[in-house]
Amino acid sequence: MSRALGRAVAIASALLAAAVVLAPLPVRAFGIAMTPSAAPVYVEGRQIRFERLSVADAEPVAAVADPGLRDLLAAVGAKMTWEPGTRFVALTRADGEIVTFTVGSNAMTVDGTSTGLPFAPFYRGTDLFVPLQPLAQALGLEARRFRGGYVFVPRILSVNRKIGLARTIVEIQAAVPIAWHSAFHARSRTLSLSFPGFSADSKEVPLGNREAAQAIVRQSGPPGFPIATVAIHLFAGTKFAAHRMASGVGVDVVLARSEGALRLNERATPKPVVVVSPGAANGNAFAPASPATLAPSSEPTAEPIEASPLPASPITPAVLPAPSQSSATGGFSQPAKITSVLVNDLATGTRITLTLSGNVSFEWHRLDQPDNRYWIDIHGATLVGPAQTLASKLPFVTNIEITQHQITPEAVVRVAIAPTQPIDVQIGQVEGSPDQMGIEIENTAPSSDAPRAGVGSIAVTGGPSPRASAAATNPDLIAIDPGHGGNDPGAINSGYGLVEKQLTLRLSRAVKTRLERLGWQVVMTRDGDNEVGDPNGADRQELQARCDVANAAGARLFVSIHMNSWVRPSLSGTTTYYWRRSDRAFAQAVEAATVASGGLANDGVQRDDLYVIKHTNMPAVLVEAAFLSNPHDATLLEQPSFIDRLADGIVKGIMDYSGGPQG
Amino acid sequence: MLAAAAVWALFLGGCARHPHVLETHQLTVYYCKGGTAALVPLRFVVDSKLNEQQLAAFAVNQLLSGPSALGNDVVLFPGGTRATVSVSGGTATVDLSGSVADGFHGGTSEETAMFKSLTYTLTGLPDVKNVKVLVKGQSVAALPGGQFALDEPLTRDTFAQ
Repeated sequence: MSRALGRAVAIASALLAAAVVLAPLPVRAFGIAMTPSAAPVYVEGRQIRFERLSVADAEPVAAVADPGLRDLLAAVGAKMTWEPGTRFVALTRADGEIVTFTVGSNAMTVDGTSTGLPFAPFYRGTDLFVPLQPLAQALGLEARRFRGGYVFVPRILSVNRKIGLARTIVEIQAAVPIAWHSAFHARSRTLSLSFPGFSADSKEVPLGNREAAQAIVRQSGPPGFPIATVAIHLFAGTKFAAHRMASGVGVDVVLARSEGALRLNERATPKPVVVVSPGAANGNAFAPASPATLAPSSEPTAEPIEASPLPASPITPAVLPAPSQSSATGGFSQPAKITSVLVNDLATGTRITLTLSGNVSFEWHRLDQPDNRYWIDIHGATLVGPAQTLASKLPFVTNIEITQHQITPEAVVRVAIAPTQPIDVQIGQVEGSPDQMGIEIENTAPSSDAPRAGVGSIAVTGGPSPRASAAATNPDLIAIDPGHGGNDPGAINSGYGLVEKQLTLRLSRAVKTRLERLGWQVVMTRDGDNEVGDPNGADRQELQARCDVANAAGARLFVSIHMNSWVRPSLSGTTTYYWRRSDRAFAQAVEAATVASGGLANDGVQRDDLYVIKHTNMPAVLVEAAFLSNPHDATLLEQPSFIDRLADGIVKGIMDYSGGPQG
Repeated sequence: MLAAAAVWALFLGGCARHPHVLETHQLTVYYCKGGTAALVPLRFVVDSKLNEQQLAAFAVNQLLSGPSALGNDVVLFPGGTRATVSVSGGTATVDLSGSVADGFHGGTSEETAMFKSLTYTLTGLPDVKNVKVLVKGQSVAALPGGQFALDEPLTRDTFAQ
């Protein structure tokens, strides 16, 4: 329906509604019986608390003033206009479309188009009630029954193609701000974009025959948290780029034979554009984000100081965007989540890498000698999982603490560094990883007139990373790596008929089942008796291939599962290995829970230079669940119930560390 | 081999007309032993005329053949493992072949202990700062079937907790 026609219908509908009210026909909502309801409502994988959810005529209704409704609107980036006592409610969707409800009218309008309601919005006392399911649908959500309540799932509304001279554009649109993960599988040349939490109708969209034949739209995942996927098999030589639409509610995937045709010049795109082309340089250098450094000051503490980041536009802390505004790119007004913390020792110093789910602003401060403390407050951010105290190998850094410094009125995560001498720190986006904030403590001391405070911000595009092998972090995805497989049996205890590769797969599958039950998504590096890399290739490929699976999928956590062995049968028990010091807490959580559940000896956590936990981009541990070489452990490993207990423990460790899926 | 070296040293010493003075220095070979894989140093006295490469070869040979005196809970490279060693520019390069290069079937504890012994032993030599492990002449991620990262040179820091 054209927009003009839609408006005409809306006007007609409004007239009709007025006629209905004028002629005293019974409008069903008046006098309708309402009963309070405790039915849970889920949006984007979390429950929304309504204070006054009721059921009227078998339909859930919500008061317009209910904080739960405001929470729902915030989750999808919509705004409401309503004055108590008035008859009109207007909602502005993230894509700019307007939805209106009128008291007494059993039709709503969505961008001028009228749609029937099961009954009209009505007042009870001073509360205005609206039917919830049509409201959610008008916001571009799909309403479903779920766990005795309702789940509202954003939908991919359309997948269309536009074929141009030098390129084909696949337009993927929703009505709510869209976030996606992309992965390019080099061997099959398949580009897949996944939209966690979105539903979609399965279909195939023909794309012509130049860059790719078709886009395949599918939905997977549990009903309460589906994942829509658009997979495009590219012909050889096709390059691609994904651009967020200016409205934030869609993505344009550009397919072209030449790099130049990947740019979208005609579209005014205020957000950063990430260009991805298969085989792009694997750069991971550290690039300071547009630094907004405050001018030097003789004040030891952080007074608001005149700022001079760039000659043209001075920035002061006061004009920093509030977190709700700063999330414009992602469109969600909730704070960004920090889903992982990594510490790497580099030749030039120590780098702390935080993975962000959305935009943040930050300010940093440094105290003078002899205190030397340095801290960074990340505004609009929540820390997922426990506070962490990290060690650095730098001799002049006592420790680094990462804590949720404040929740209200604004969520603030603080990174506090306790040095014994003045330190020089660089803060910015990690080049090639738009969702990663890097904090690099340099080996060298700052100059004596270096600034003592500064501000900056990190804009997470939410788009695909330019590294073909890495994706933005999916906060609900865990990678499980069953050790060995195929022509590599791992350790063997022939006396008990135990082969490590079989036990690791059995245990990994048990872990996967449990994680999925808890709402996690799981990617397995293998789910059969096979190698992950090229079986005829060098061993570098086998272990790197396992890392690639987790890195390309954007897993939040990585767990490699193994069975230990020793030269003598005497050793028994569970050990969990970590490499990066920042992964120690993860290893401790998994070790403690696995020992508690499996009941074997606690052999503790060990720092060890193991390839798969060193070359994965996310917090990673390797669990040696039991000793194949020990008769007691081996006897237990023969029993399925023991494998289940080990799986329970590993999963509890993951939950304890991560706080659960973040959908 | 130690005996041979000593005889050779005595012979050379005799030629130099100092038959009663054998110039020696100490070389320490570290083994990992027991459930905690604790480092156990064994000291060898070797001829000071051995160059760095010969010292490194001597030490690796001791690690491969194993000490009879330490009991049977010492972690050794699997029997049938061969190694060639060269030292250059502060790096000892150990090229593994034979049994361990065809497929490692032990646990992570054993594997880590093997490389910890090798690294501690070789970096105990005056001119060796780090150890690069090759498998059949190739730089690898890990032993076939192994987990321990061999993509970068190893130092004692690699094993720091």
